[in-house]
Amino acid sequence: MAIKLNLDRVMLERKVSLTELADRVGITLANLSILKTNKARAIRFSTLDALCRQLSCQPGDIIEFVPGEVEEGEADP
Amino acid sequence: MTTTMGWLPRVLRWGFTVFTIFCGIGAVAILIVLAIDPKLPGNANFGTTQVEFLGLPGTVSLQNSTFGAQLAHGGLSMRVNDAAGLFEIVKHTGLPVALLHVLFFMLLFDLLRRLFRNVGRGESFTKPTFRLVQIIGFSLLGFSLVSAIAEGLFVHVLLDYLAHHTAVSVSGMAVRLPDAQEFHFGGDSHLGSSYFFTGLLVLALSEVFRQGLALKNDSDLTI
Repeated sequence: MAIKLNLDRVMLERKVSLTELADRVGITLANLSILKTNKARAIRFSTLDALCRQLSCQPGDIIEFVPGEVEEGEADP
Repeated sequence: MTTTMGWLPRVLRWGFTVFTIFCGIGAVAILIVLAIDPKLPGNANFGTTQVEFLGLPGTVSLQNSTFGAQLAHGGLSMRVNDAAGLFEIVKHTGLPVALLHVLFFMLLFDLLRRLFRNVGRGESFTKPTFRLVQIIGFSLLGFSLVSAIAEGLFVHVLLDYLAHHTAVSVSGMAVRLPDAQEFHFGGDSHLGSSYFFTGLLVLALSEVFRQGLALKNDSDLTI
């Protein structure tokens, strides 16, 4: 997917661990791990809101568009 | 995601387990009969028994290796001169066909048991469940073809035998049974049977499961 989550970088900058962030945001460790490893298909606004609130950042700090990375079976719009 | 486990999948799962066991017992019984290979004694005599066929009263008898059947108070009568030969045909052709059916139903009931076990666990839209539905569909389609050939062969052999060893009379007038070659082999094709259409329906259903699986994956990966 051309959309990449830079959650690990933001977490490193804020010095927040995965367990701590999962507790603060209110999602499971497994789901946060899916976000961190870029395996997620979609992210809810409520999750994004909680992440930005807890990490004191903007959505653009977490989400990045990488041109050219198209998954197999996925067409450009 | 948790789902409440209904009672129906549990009941069906146990029901199909029992059916699978019954089919297994049936298959073993047929195999034992085939292995023992019993013969009909030449002087076999089972007397006369009252029967009802197509709503008509009648009698069947086996005396001195002659099998006789009368319907509608003698209006239609049939006599097989060599009942032992008929017995051999039923044993050597009919029983393998019956074994094929029993084995297929054993497989089908086991697949259904596994399917309802998964559904009972709330694992309806998973890859194993989708695969099970697909296998059930393909096995029904395959069985409709195999059973059409097997049953056609049995009917052919049986009619061939009856044509040469049977005397049929209607209202006292002798009637000649047509040769087996005169019947179209597999004319009453089982491809049009309920197995075939059920197989197609189940395959269509498997596509629904495939799409459900894709939706569930999307839902699971939406955080």
